[in-house]
Amino acid sequence: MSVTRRRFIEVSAAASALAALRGTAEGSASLAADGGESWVKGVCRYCGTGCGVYMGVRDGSVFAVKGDPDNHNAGFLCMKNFLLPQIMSAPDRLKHPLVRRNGELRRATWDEAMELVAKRFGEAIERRGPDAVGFYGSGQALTEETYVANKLFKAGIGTNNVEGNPRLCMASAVGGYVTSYGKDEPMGSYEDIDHADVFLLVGSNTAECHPILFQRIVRRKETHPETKVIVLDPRRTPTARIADLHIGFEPGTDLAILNAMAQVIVAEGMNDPSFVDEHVSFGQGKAADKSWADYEAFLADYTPQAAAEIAGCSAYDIVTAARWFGGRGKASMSMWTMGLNQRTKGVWVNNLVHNLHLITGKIGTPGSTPLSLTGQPNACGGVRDGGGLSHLLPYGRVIANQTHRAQMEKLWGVPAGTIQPKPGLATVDLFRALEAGDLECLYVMCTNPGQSLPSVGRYRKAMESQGSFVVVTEAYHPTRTTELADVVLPAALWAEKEGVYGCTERRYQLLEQAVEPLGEARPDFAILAELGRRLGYGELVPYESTAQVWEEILTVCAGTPYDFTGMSWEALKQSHGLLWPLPEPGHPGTKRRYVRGEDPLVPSDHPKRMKFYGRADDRAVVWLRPQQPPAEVPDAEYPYYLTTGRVIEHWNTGTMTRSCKELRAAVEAMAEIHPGDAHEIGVEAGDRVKIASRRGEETFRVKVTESSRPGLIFVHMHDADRIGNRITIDAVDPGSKQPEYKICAVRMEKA
Amino acid sequence: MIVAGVVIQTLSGAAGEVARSVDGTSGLEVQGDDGNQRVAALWRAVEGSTLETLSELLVASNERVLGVFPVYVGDIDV
Amino acid sequence: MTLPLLLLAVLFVLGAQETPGSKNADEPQAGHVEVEPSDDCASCHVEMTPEIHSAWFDSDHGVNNVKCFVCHGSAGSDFVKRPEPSRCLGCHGEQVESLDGAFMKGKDCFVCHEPHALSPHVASREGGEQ
Repeated sequence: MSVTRRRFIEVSAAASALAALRGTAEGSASLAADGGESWVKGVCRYCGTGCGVYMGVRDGSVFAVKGDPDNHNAGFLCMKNFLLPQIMSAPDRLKHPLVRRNGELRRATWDEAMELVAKRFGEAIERRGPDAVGFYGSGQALTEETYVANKLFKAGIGTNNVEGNPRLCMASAVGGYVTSYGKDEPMGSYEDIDHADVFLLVGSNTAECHPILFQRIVRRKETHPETKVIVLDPRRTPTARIADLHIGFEPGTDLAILNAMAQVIVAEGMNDPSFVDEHVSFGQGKAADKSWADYEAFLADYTPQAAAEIAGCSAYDIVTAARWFGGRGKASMSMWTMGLNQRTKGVWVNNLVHNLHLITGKIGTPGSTPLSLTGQPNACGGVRDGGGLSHLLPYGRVIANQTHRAQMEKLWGVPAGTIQPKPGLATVDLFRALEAGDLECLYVMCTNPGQSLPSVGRYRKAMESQGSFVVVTEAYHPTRTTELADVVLPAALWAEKEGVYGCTERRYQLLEQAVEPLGEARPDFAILAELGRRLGYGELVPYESTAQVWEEILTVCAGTPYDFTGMSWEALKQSHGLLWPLPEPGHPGTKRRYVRGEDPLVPSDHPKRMKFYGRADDRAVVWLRPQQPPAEVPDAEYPYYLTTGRVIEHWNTGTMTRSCKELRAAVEAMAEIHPGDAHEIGVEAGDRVKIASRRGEETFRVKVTESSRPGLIFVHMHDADRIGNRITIDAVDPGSKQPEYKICAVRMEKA
Repeated sequence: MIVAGVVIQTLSGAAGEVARSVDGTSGLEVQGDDGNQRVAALWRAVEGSTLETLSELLVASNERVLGVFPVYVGDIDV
Repeated sequence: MTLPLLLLAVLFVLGAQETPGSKNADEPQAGHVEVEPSDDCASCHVEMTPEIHSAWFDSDHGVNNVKCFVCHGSAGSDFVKRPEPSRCLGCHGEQVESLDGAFMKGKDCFVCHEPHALSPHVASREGGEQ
């Protein structure tokens, strides 16, 4: 039989086409929800940018993450987020409760573990009163979880010793917002990035620490090339790559620079007198009883030349920065994080950034806003807004205010007088109380103080000591904290539970549960509720689900400046994040607070453009804050500055990111030093150095880089085996009680 | 004369309907479909560029057709 | 004219199971040379493969610190020379999903978006978002 060529080709063509019907790109590109795969909406586990994600679930585990194109991040993620599935199945996931017996942590049942915890807490409270126990929580816990802890400890047990790691991270930003505007939290949002003409990035390595916000700034610059980026940082970080102006300076002298920028703005007539007239008062110390004349006189000491002398930078650069920021008709946006917050002058330097916006009136209009960048995914929603600190109550209320305490007692259904009138201990003081034996029992939730506290050696001893009973809920073991604990409880991690996260821009979003908790892990709200029951406070914490807790939270925020009663669980589920205030169902949320016509809490007939309703006179305050030095500066014995921080690959203490194989290359913390300093002590890249302060010492391998500043050493914070916090200082800002991680004095030698 | 074996990509579930509606038009001879989103067909045309133009027309005119992809192309002019 | 066409078409079909559209589809995946675990990719590649490094460094991915291992894995056993499109999924979900469509059938991202510059399509640049 012969086949014609024509027939052959036709048959081949037909066969090929049919064969191609069966060939599918197996696995990789097929993303339809078929074949047992589903995509669950959630939020990234890491930084305060709060990127929306979809978690891909197959066979009961998360196998992929993709960005949510309908959220603020427009579908983009940073590398850490993208690799999140690996943290779920890390080999050091904790699956069972552990109890220390005869010096060793051994597996126990939930019943055994919780009975012990309740017993020890109960006994301490009985013997020494409620302040013998305390709670140390986290800006990574769900809002509902911090809420339950707050209620249980303050209204049940009756102690205000409720703290959280945002004290180490955001407390000065809180202090800045509260003193400048009367209430916490930024008034602008990420969308302002799309309208800004000038960016002032100060004390922030945005490129590595908030990559998706950095990317948004980059896009703004690409589409509007006349946009100016000013970066103020002693180091020339990857953020400086897009800077039109980078100003490096002696650590701790940024107060002088910011005051000098204000001086230039006023001297060259870039200030806005009518805005100041209508919306601003002036203050010094704690009283807002100064005048514009006082402020001008104060600024006279901060000419660019004087500031440049103090800061070790160029006066001309300060003038340029001021002219760009203050330029008429330009929208100016400032962003900052730990460079300003982790300082003994943290609140003051925050005030100085707000001053620039207030004297120019560049606030409350598209692209003009001071936006503090948050470090953790839920420091804002859970701890700051939820009032999970020792001096706070939920949603703008404070312990020291009798009316606020009465409101919460009523809302929580406890007798008047239940909540103690005196604030509890702030974090460093809390751990010092543990050290002194005044605090006996500490419940640590979702954080790693054994690695993250400043001058950590001292507090590790406190946690380890015989007299302390420390309970830790964690997803991993061992961590630098669980290794010191008496009881370790396995906590459900990220995709294994559901609840609300609130990020930097007042955006609340729902993390939906995608998979079941591993082993015997349970969500933190349930662990707390059980502790509450066992301690006899079951009626205060009767929750079966975080949705139930959220229902209650809605009643507690009603009528406050946070009012988000319109954010029902269902509304959050349907949305891709909502910005508060959002006082009724269907309200679109608020992009710009304090602005008439945009903020539902400002009456539509308010006579002025803005109403800073956090303060009785509706005015914001420009505070006169002088340049003052950090707690510890270099001297003959300790001649270098030490500063600490993140790299893009790892997050906080690295307990999650270290499990991601692609990130292991950067898992070892390094000390970044300037070539001049390397030469001086005779080291090259890869050599080891021993760095020591008055508090402790640690050894690191060295990275020699021009990005560092002569005399300044930058050490990575994410490595459990090379703990920079052995060296850092636990001096705190007197107002915010936040420690000065960013500056201390060290000596360095080749190891 | 060009003969091509092609796969016509359709909206999810629309393969059967598309198969029925294109069969016999413009030189297309349907060979089968996968019951979901792909139709296998034989396409005869005078020359390659004709096929390209016809493909574009098909995509533009039939909203259930997402694209046309050739998996085999042969020239049967000897 | 016939034969090369035929060959190409056959390659398409045969190549459907691997990374389609790639002339490297038949090469075995090479591992990375051994490096110190804490070495930065750039520290060697700036000198060894300078065009690749600068193509990446000057691109959007470089400015935004989308580092090498995001696409290629670490230098260890998970190293991959030509990444699967699924590695682009994290940020470019919609585009990766479009690989299912007829237009992209049998191709991967890199057929048009040349490594390592990975420039977007020009058309989408106007208007800012892509």
